[in-house]
Amino acid sequence: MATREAGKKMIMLKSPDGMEFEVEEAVAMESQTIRKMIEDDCADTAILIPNINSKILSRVIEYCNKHVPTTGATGAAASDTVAPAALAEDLKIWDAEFIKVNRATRFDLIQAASYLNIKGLLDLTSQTTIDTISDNSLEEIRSFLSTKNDYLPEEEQTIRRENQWAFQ
Amino acid sequence: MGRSGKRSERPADLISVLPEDLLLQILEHLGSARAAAGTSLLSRRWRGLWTRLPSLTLSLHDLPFGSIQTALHRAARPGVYIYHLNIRVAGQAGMIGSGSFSSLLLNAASLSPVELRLALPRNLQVSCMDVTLPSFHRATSMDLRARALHLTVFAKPHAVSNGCYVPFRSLERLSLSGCHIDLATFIPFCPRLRVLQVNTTGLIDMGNIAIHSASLEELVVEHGNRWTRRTHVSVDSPVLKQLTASFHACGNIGVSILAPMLDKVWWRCSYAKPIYGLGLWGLSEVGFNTDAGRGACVQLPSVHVLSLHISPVQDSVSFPNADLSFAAEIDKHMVTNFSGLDLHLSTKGHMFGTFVLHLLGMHRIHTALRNLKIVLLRSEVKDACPVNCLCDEPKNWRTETITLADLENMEIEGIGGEDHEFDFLKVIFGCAPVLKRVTVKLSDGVTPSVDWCTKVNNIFMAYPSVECNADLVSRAKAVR
Repeated sequence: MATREAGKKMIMLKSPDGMEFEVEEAVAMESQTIRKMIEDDCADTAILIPNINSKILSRVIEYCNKHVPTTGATGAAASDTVAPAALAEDLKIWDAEFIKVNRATRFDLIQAASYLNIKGLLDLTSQTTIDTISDNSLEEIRSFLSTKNDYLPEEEQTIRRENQWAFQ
Repeated sequence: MGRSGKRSERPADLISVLPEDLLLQILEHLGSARAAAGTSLLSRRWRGLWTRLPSLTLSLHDLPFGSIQTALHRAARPGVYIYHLNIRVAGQAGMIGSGSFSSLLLNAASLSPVELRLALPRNLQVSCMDVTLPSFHRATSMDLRARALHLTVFAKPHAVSNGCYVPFRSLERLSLSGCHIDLATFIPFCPRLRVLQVNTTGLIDMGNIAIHSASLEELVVEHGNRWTRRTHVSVDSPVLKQLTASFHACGNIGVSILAPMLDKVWWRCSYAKPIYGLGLWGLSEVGFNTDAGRGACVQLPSVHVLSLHISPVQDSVSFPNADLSFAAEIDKHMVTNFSGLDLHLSTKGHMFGTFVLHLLGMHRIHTALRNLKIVLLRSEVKDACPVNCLCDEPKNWRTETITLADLENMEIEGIGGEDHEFDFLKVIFGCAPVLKRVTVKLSDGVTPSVDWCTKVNNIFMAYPSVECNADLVSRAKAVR
């Protein structure tokens, strides 16, 4: 067990507002973007993550930390006692809790997930957004997306006609 | 300008917060083009955004034919990449011109879907003019369901041989139901085809099913026509592993299966009326199956079983050239090697010895047979076999010898405790030198005479190397 602790390689991530996060390499490599940097040996000291502030970056790291054992190649932590199905169920509950954030934070997370290329987080954030959109009336969606209806009434009629099949 | 001039305290619009490619990625999670298209109404900026989705499912379910055309037309814009195209035309009785159906296919093809499903309702028919199936070069899976749709493939002469024109080059799974199509022309256009399902039920001109493919691994043929005079199934596929076929035969059947890798077979041919038979016994069904009980848990080579359903014909018709044509008919269905024979006999009170021994004497059967199972089906009503009935002619079957050199297991179900049944058992014991196991099961509610049970027990004892299982125990202290 001691070797497992000692064997962990750490990576330094820096946000543009000057915060530094020391994370395990395996956790950082949940991001395909960072993985590529590490594999290409571009990550000797610290990796600067542009456009993602420390608040969002810390949440992203929190997500990766939670998700690393199941997606990691070794699976050493997962193999102990918990069944894979129970573990997945546990993660789902955790995800649902994790994504209970305000709209602005969610959009920030979407962008961060996209830039860092973390598929699980991108799916989670996109799906949550979509879930809010679907099953709502147009007005509700507009208000949620802060989109203003700038169609003239006759234009709206045209669009309805054009896409009639979608509203049948 | 008037409306946008008003200052708003509201947070920034999603579309201005997120770059378009990310927005499209989110829209993709909507899972359907229909829902995505609905977002067009949100605002000007959203108008047509969905058509730039990188990949999506376009499901047009239960829409009238006319609206589908319009929807496809809308979706067909440069750069739109439809992944699954799923069209189900709403039930509407009537006829649509082959021209408008052709243009629907063309519109569908211009979306180059990866998966295509197209289903026409049963009561909607396309006029019987040929419809050209356009090229779906990206489709890996296609499923077309219609009713008597005449399809042709645009074949450029000489283009196939040099490989430059392959309209279905990605196609791996194809399912055709209710489509008239010349498979011999079509299949060479699908060089990657692995799974083919063809349902020709209700089609008049699909009696000839010719499938020659170098890539096909699984074939399912359903040919449920009771009126087709001639049916010809010809399969030539070097890598075919699974074959499922069921058809009704009403006239001539031709079968040619060339598939050296064939491993799993489910084959069923039912005869609408007895055309082939011997004496008073008519052939009603031929089956050929992979024995499911074997090789399921252990990796053994597959064992195949020929199964015949036979029943006495109503009036004693005489089958022309009975001997030859009966054997030849059964031969046709032996699509690969087999070692088992399941015989389902509706006896209707007749003696079966003459017939069954004749059957077992057929060349391909007596040389292959390892496992024999005979199921005697009795009707509820006690059928009487008339005096001097043909079934026992010629009577010398009781002293007949055929060589069943490899027969190891025999099981007879539905025994009624009659003397001719005992005689039959006795003949088999004498014909099968390597017989290992014999199982005899009495028909429900039958109590054979003590005399009969003793005779059976005696013959079991006369062959000590054979393991005998008989459920006569309670009745006559049977040996085990």
